[in-house]
Amino acid sequence: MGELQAVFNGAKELPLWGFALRAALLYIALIIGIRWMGHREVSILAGHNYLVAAGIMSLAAVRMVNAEASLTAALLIVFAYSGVNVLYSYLDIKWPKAIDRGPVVLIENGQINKKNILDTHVTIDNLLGQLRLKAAHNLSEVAYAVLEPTGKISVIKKTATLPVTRQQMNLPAKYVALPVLLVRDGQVDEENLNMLGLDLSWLKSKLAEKGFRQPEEVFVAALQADGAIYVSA
Amino acid sequence: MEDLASIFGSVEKLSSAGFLVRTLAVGVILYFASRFLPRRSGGQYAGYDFAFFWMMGGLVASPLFDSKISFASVLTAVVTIYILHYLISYIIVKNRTMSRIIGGMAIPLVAGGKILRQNMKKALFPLELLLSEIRQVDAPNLAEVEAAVLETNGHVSVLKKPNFQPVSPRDLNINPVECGLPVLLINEGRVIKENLRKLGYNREWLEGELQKYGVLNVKDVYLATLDGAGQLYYSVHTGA
Repeated sequence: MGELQAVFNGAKELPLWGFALRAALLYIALIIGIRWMGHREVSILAGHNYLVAAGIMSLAAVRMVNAEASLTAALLIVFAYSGVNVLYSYLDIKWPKAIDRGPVVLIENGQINKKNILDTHVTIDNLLGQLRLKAAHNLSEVAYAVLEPTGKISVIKKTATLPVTRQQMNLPAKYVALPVLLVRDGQVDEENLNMLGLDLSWLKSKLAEKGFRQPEEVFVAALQADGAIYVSA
Repeated sequence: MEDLASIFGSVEKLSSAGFLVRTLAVGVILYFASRFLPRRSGGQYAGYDFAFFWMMGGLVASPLFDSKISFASVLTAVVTIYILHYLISYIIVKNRTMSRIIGGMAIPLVAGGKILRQNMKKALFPLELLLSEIRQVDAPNLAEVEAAVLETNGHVSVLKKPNFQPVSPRDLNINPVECGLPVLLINEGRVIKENLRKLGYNREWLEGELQKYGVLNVKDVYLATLDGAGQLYYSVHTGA
């Protein structure tokens, strides 16, 4: 019992299983913390998101292996630091201007905004490089370039240089929707099937057309908006 | 409970409650650090941005690593690196030679459809990685690639050969209306008068346009935007 207490409170020396337990508990705490902070933490949407991301990982890692550091404090810190981040993300929705900064327009109507580009310390080579990565190799193709709060540069190309759309070709509109999964790993998704007003016998007949006798033989089957069924064994 | 000196200073041992107070104090530093974050650091355009990006998070949180780490040392390091990053950014914007030395430069890997072996070697860039990078930008076949450049952020940009580029309206002599950036007119039920005024419209016009779509109350609109082609987009509160 004394050893377990040492693992939580920290001691001069710890047995190896103590480090394993500390690593496992902190990793689980991090997973819970990141789930709590939400999708916006993983995608790093604002300055505080990225500072917390790098900070929380390294503090957990350092405390995992430092025998003298208290594990109890480490777990508390992980949740408290996640909480601070969630609070800022919440405030970001309430008062966006108080937490994060807005985007900066670098190219407007095809013209480079010199003042903004100098103010944000983006060199011309940086700008051209970022545009190339977005497949805008010529400045004349670019209508807008916006430096987003996270530092990424989004590029809006001039309509005439983008791929032709159906509207421009005067083609009739097409029905689009997200495909619906009907079978995953051999299991029929009955909820999705019922939602579409279809049943198992319909699915079986469709699968039979593709040469499958049972849904169990199928890894993925999905109904697409064009009415076709995608099947992969 | 410890006194403030041990919470913010350097001590051998700090209780969990002490660390909780420290976490909240770090939260305050976090706020100012993210307010003054250099925008380009998040974009990681060059190596020194990359170093800043990955170091700063750990640095801001470092009083939580160990009770021996004092706030004074952390704040000093944070401020020093912010100033240094600012100075480097200032220099490389002003001087291209310095920019090449500090930030490096883009290296062409493919030119005229031919792989530049010398440059690949110089950049220590393996062929496998080049193939992987071009797959990620929808050019899986090197035969489609006219030029490829290794950018300073480590990713490869690809210019496809003309025959493999999608057809654009320009190729078909179609002159589409430039849509531009949409302008935000309504945000969560609130009309943004400033943007309306800039476009030469007023609230009555917006209400009239929304009424055409059967939206009677502006308060019901979650978001409304107008693009350069005059197309109004709106989304109403759905309760969900």
